[in-house]
This record gives sequence, C-alpha cells and structure tokens, in this order.
Amino acid sequence: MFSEDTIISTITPVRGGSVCLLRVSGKDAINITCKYFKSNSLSNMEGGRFYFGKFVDDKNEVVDEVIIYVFKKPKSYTGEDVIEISCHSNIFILEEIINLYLNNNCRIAEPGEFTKRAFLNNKIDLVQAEAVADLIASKSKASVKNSLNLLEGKLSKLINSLKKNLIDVGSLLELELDFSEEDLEIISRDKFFDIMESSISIVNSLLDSYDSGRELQKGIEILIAGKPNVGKSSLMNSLLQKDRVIVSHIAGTTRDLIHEDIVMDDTLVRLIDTAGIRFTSDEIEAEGVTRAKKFLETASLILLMIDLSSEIDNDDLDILNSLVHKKSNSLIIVGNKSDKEANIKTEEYLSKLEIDKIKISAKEETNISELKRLIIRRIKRNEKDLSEDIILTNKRQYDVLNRLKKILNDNLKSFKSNQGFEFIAVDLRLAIETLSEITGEISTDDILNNIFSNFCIGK
Amino acid sequence: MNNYDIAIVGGGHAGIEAAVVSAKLGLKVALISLEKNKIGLMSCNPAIGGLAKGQLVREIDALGGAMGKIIDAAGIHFKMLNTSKGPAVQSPRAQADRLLYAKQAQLIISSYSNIDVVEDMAIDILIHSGRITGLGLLKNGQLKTKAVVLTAGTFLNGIIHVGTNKLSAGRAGELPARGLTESLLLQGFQSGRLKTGTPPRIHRDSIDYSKIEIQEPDKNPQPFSYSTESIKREQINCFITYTNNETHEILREGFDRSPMFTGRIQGIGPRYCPSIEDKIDRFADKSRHQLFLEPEGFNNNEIYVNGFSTSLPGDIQERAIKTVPGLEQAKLIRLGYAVEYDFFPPDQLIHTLETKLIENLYFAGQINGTSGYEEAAAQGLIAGLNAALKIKELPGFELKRSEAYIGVLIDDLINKIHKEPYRMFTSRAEFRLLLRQDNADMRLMEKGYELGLIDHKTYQKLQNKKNQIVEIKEKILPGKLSPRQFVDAFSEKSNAISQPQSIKDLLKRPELSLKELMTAGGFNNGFVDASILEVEYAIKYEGYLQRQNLLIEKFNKAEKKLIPINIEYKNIRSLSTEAREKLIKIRPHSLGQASRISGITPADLSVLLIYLEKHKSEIVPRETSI
Repeated sequence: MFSEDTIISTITPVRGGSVCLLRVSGKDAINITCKYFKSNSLSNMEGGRFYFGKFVDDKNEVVDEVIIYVFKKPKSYTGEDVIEISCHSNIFILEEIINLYLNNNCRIAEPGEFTKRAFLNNKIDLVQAEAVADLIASKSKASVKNSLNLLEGKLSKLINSLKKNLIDVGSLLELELDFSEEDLEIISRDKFFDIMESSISIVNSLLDSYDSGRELQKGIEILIAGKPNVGKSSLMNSLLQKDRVIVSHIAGTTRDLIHEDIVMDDTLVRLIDTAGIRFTSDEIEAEGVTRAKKFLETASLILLMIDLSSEIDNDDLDILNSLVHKKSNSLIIVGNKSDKEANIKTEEYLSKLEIDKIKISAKEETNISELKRLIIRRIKRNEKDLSEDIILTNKRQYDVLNRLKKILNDNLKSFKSNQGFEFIAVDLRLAIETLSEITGEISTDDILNNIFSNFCIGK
Repeated sequence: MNNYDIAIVGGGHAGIEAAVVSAKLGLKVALISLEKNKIGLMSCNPAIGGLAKGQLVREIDALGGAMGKIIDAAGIHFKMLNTSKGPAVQSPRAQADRLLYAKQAQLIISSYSNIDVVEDMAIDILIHSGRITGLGLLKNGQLKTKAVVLTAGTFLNGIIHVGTNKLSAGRAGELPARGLTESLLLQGFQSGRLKTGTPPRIHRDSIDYSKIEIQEPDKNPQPFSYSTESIKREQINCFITYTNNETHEILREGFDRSPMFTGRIQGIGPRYCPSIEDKIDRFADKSRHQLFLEPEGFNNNEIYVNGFSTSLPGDIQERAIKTVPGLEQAKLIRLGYAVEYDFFPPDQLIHTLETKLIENLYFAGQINGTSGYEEAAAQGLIAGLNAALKIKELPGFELKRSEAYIGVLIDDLINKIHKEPYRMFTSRAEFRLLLRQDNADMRLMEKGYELGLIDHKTYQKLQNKKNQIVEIKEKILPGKLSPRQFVDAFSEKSNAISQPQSIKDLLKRPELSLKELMTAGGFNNGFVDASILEVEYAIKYEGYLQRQNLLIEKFNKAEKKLIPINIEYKNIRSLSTEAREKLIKIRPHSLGQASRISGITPADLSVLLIYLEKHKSEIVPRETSI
C-alpha cells in the first residue's frame, strides 16, 4: 500500500503570506528538483543546506526565484529524501511548480502522508504514531464534513448517484453474463448508453466547475489587460484609489504581475495588472508577457483596455482575438483616454463588437464608479451561476474525476463497438474503483446484491 | 484394517474428490458413507456445470479431479452456454443420467485399491492434544486416522419439510446424521442453519410434449475433462414451459401452510435459487416463470421440474403444477421439499480448508455453507489434497484469486460473512477475463502434474498445446495475406486491403477470427482449436488484458504484505472494535486477505499497516506455505 513513490504538497497555507513552502518527499525528490532548479552555487546538492536560484519549466522559462532546502535521507522529516521549496505565495506559481513535479511521476500527498511516512521510517515514536493514525482517520472525516457543509451535501449526493448509476450498469452487465440462461427481460443497449452518457456528462460538469471552485477558494481574479502604455496601471490605481503601481509613459514599465486585493461590495477581489502584451526583445519582460497571456485564460474577469485615442493596431487585435472564445460574461472592454480626441477607426471597430464596453479616463478618473458598478454586476452574476451548481474545489477529487472521465469514455467506446460485456465490465470496475477513491470502498458483493434485489433469478 | 491415513465422512461430490486425490497420492483412505450405493448420487438437479460452475469443473479436472470424467461418461445433454459471447464467459453444462452418474462415480472409487468404503455413520470425533486421531462410528466403533475430511452435505441434523409435515432426513428417504455436530460444538465450533430446496419430479409419460418448447443439446458436445477425447453417448432433448397466473393463485392458497412463511424453517435459503413460492411472493408483478423439464436419464421415468423448487403442501404442488402448459396430466412421482441442515460458518477455516481449532480436521462442501455440486467438489479436492500433503509433510496447496475460480471460492468462503448458501458466479471473480473454462489446463495442470495428480498422456496434450501456441505466435502471426487472398476469403464481411498485411494486424478487426485467417492464408496445418483460441484471445483483447493485469499486480502486491503469526491485535488501539474482533477470528495471512474480510475498512487497513511497519523487527515472520 505504501509505495516508495514521490509526493508533493504545500505545507504552509497558500493564502495570507508572501512566501509559501512546498515539500517534496521520496526517492525522486532530488532528481526532479535538479531538472528544474537552476543555480550558480549548485554543483552537487548537499543535505542540510539551502540554495538560492531560479525554478524553470520544461521550456527553460523561469517560474519563480526560490530557495531550496535539501534534506537527504534519513535526516529529514519523513526519513526519505526531502526537498522543501520556498517560493512566492502566488497560486499560479504554486500550481506551476506542483504541476512540473506531477508531470514527473510525482503525486499529490494524501492528508497526513508526510507524517505517515515519518512514522513508517521510524522518525516518530509509537504514541505519536497512533495519534497520527487517529488523525488520519479523523482528518478524512473532517474533510468529508467540511465538503458537506461547504456544498450542503450536494457533491456527496451527486458522487453517490454517479456510483449508483455505474453499479446499476455493472449489475445489468453481470446479470446478462451470469444469468443468461434465465428467463429475464432483455436489457436494452439504449439503457446502457443513457446511463453512461449521463454519467459522463455529470463528470464533465463537475470538472468544468473546478475552475469556478478554485475561484471560490482563492477569490475572484480580475485581470487588467491591454497593450503597453494603454493605461492599465493608472486604472488599477484609480480602482484602488492609491498610488500603488509605478506609472510612467515609457512602454513596458510594469514588468511583472502586480496584484492587490480589494473588497468590492462585500466580495474579495484580486486585481492583477499585467505586463503589456506585445512582442519584446527584453528577455525579462518577455517572461512577464508569456505569463500574462496565460493568465488571460484563467482569470474570472478581464478588463481589456484599448486606447480610444489611437488607431487600433495588431497588438490590440492579437489580444482581442485570443479572448473572443472566452465566455462573454468574463470580458469587459474598457476604452481608455476618453479625455483625448477619439480615433474614429477604433471607435467604429469597437462598436461592431458584441461585448460589454465602457469608456473611461483613468487619468481624469471619469466613469470609474460606473466601471466599478459594472464589475460588481459581473461578479454577482458569476456568483449566482456558482450557487446553482455543484462546485468541485478539491484538487485530489479533480484528479480522480479526470481519470474517471477517461475510463468512462473508453467504456462508452467499447459499448459502441459492441465489445463483449465481460470486457466492458473490467473497465466499469475500474471506473467504480476510481470513483470509490472519493467516497469509500465497494466490493463485488455490491453488484451481486444489487442484482438479487432487483431481478428474479433462479431456475 | 481399522487404521487409516485419511477418513472422509460423506460420499457426495466433495467426498469423492477428497477420496480420489488422497488415493492418488498413495494414502490409505476410508470413505465413510451411510449407504454404499448412494455414493455420487445427485440429490438435486441432474446436471453438472453452468456459468462459472463449468469453469470450476474444468479446474478440478486440470488438477486431476474426478468430476469432469464422471460427467463425460454420464452426460446425456451437453450444452456450451453463452456461445454468442466471449470465451471468458462461456461455460459447459451437461444434464446427466442420474443412475449412470452415481455408477460411474462408484466405479472410479472402486478402481483405487487404497480406498475402503465403510458403510457407517460418524457420530463423534476423537482428538488428542488439539489434533484429530480418529472417528467414533455408530456400528463399527472407533476408526483410527491421521486426518479427517468432513463432507457431510445436508445430512447433519437434516430436517425435510413438505407443507406442515416435517421429518428428520438428510435427503428424501435417507436418514440424517446425528451426533457429529454436537461433538464439534463441544470442541468450540460454531454452527448455523441453512435451507435448500428441490422441486417435484413428474413422470415423463404424463407430459404433453406438443405444448412445450424443445431445447436441443449441442451437435458437437464438448467434454469437461481434458483427458476425454470425445463424447460418445447418445444425446437427448430437454424441454421448456412456463407457469401462469393460475399457477400462482393456487400456490398462494398454500402460503398459510408454507414452512417458509410460517416460520417453521429457520435456515436461510439462497436468493439466486429461490423456491417458486419465494419467486411469486417477491416478484408479484411477474406473470410467468420459466420451467426447465430435465430428464433424469435414458431409462429413468423421472423428469426434474427445474425452477419449481417448493416446500408447499403436496395437494397444492399437484394442483399448481397441473396448470402449467404441457403438464395438465402430470403425474407426480416425488414431491418437492425443503431441507434444513447444519453448516459451519467457514471463517473457522484457513485457506487449506483445515479447521483453525483442530489440526488435521478439514471441512468441505455444503457444510461450509455452499450450494452446488461443483462448489462442493472443488472444496473436496482442495481439502483432500491438503490433508494428504500434510500427512506427507509437504507444503500446503493454495490457489490465488487471480489463478482460479477455486481460489476465489475458498478465499470468499473464509473471509466473508455468508448469510445464504454460497454459489459461484463469474462476477465474483474480479479477474474473470483470465479464468476461462478453456484455459484451466494452462493455468493449473502444471501444478497438478507436479503433485502427481495428472497422468502422463493428458500432460503430454498440454505440452503439445503449449508448443502449438508458441508456434502460432512466432510463425503464423507474422505471416501475411495478400490482397487477393483476403478478398477471396472475406469480401463478404470485411473491407479489402491494398497491401499484404500480417495476420496479427488483421486479427485486430473484430469481424475476423484467427482460424479463418489461418485458413485463408493456407497456414492451418494440424493446429488444435484450443491453441488457436488461446492466441486469438491474447491478441484481440490485448488492451483489456493489460488493464486486468494491472489490477492483478496491485492485488499481488497486497498479497505479499504478510502479517506475522504472533501479531497481537488487541494491542493495536486505533483499530475499530469490529475490525479487531474480525482480525482475531480470521487471522489473515496477508494485508490483501485482510482487505477482503467483511467489515474491515480502509482506515483499519492503514492502522494495521502502520503497526506492521513499526514492529517489523519485533515480530516473527510467518512461514509461507505457498
């Protein structure tokens, strides 16, 4: 049950600090780290030391500047090779780093797993260990309860009904296989399709909800985007009503993402100012540009700024084009510099777009309160959507459901190609087992009991 | 004369296998039976095999058991079930001539000079310092033996019910066995009551055959035994008819005299083989139930009314059955009845079927709470084999769930709580895809041969099959079919090819079989179907088999985490009370086994694992017998 695989998790709260600590434990902890950690001082990682350097991704692009603590076994918390990474406490950075590890045969640590390993490797004593064992059990219960409170029991119900659906399909398959001699009503393949397809759509909608779920957890993110010098920093300052962002007229002043949390109408909102999106020869700025583009994909709401006073150009269109596929309620076009003379071509172009627009002057602070009202309406609209659905917030559950999705799709494919039920049953069991990772265990007895309670069997 | 290596109590399907296997290993065997000429009698339906059960018979045969050979000699209606489905869920089944079956069984028993059949009733077990030393017999006094295999079927304190009448009996017209249960209870064993039933038998000349459906046997009957060349016996038809609402009305009239519904029967019956009264009670909206009319033999007038098992009063049985199409004039030869009997919850056994309480005492068959001849025979084989191995001071014999239905059967028996008689289903086998009826020889016969249970000729057949499989894989699969050859053979059912393609690639097309492809390419010289099927299966279902193998690896990993024999569960405070009690009772030998015990939760397993890892150095490792 305990394999020697490598696990990773944050060990400090993700929110509420400027620095966050990640722990990686297991036999590949050092190997994987070496692949992504670049430092001048690092020739051979020694235990009990720390190193400063850059954490890069597969394309050698910098993710963050970090400090790495090296603990070689057995001199570590878990007794295995351990790397602890101190990075900036930003959800994007954290996810990026974690994903790099996950791509290298590492997995997310279960609750209490570092401690569990510590015990198994004789790092803590029996009294502590039994306390840990209790802790492991109580922790999962607490987390179940937590989800129940959070989701009013809706998620558990949904998972259970999904499981019931799969057990029902499984029962029908087994019935067909084990009791084909009996005089049973013929089971229609349509019913299988229906159940499988509805199961897949439930899984899909849960997976889709994960993004909204993350929003619930980390707050709402509003990205201020636009080409350089369009006035993003000025707008941020107007919204914040303080001089937070250095403003200059030289394009490219804001080289990195700058964020501020503000409360708008009782909702915590994180405003993120991006580096101007444009082609650049400056390497450091290029990094910021890449990241900004990526965040365009994940933000809850994007304020796309266009300079009303100059002619719309390729840089503007680039950004616009990369956003048209976004849901319309997550984009607002903010026409800036309404204090200057408007460019007719730009105005004409914008008027054709079926996207919400507002004209402001960040510098003169005109129409800022109108923009705020618009933002608040959007936030409320998104929240309303969220409250009607069941939201997935847990990364582990998300990973399990992602695996489940693949298995179910394979299953449906097998159905469609008229594969024998005994083969489909293998994948179905795999699916039920996978689902059980969220809710608990099932045995083959469940399927048989289901058969017996629903069908008249027996010569 | 009164001194044996192994004594087997009961000459049913379990007893026969236990006797044969221990005789094959050269031991001196006493087979104790109430009546010599009832050995091998089929007390319920006259058929062997069926889904999952057919697999069991093939496995028994691959380990040198008798059941497959007996039915091959006595079968009168062979049918391969599920032929429209894949090989993993096909199963052989055969109706038997009841008399021929028993005769053939007795013939096999008498062919071993080291088996003595003792006509007597065992009433007591003799024990010395926790080990069996002999049996107390009703007529012959004490019998000394080194081991006992108890295969008493439904005879222990058996009570037969027909309506409100009840009488003590092990089977219609036969005495029950008494005293044995009580002597086992004195030793600390726990027992329970189960119930099973049997339908009425009607005279074959009283049936109007024009009103019922005919069920024909296979044109080309497939033998059960790997040593049987072909089935030579003449084959006869079975028949199908249905009950109707009128039948159900009459049956309901008898409910107030039903031993089931009035609480006279305490034992729990099987849900998958319910009595007709149970069916109409539980499934009130069903307007008809299927009945199979199964002849009990060539020269036997009795027809077994499969599906009409009942313990309702005789007058009700007779009136009800006459409402069934074709049975209007039916003459009842024997009434249906329910039988209640003692069983010993099998969590009192270990994987070798030896009891935990008394050394060299083994339980097999219906007394372990199973139903079915095949389930009984499989246990008889394993119990007899292990008793013999133990006497010879050889390691015990166990089969894993991933190796055989027999492994699934025994593992389920000793780990799970059973509230009703246990019957094998393919869905109980999580690795079903690998446990096919046609590859039981590939899975098990080497083991059987090494133990000395398989004759040389049969073993040679297996070697031949294995060689052919290698040859097909290496030489035939890479062979190519030209577009011309392909079109000539398959223009009707498969899209043409433009370049020559290998047989292996073409086999991925669901509509093509390996045998056809080999014929089309002119490659089929002298390969037996079994070898071709084996290769075809491995190629066609590669992806599924790989996923199944992943599950098996996961399973084996947990099986290899052994739990030491001296573990003190009461010291593990974090275990739930229920888990602790279960673990103390079952004493699982691996973490995998622990995970299959009813009532053990994943949290309990984590606690157990943590404790094990922590105390690695302090506990004595268990000797593995595998």
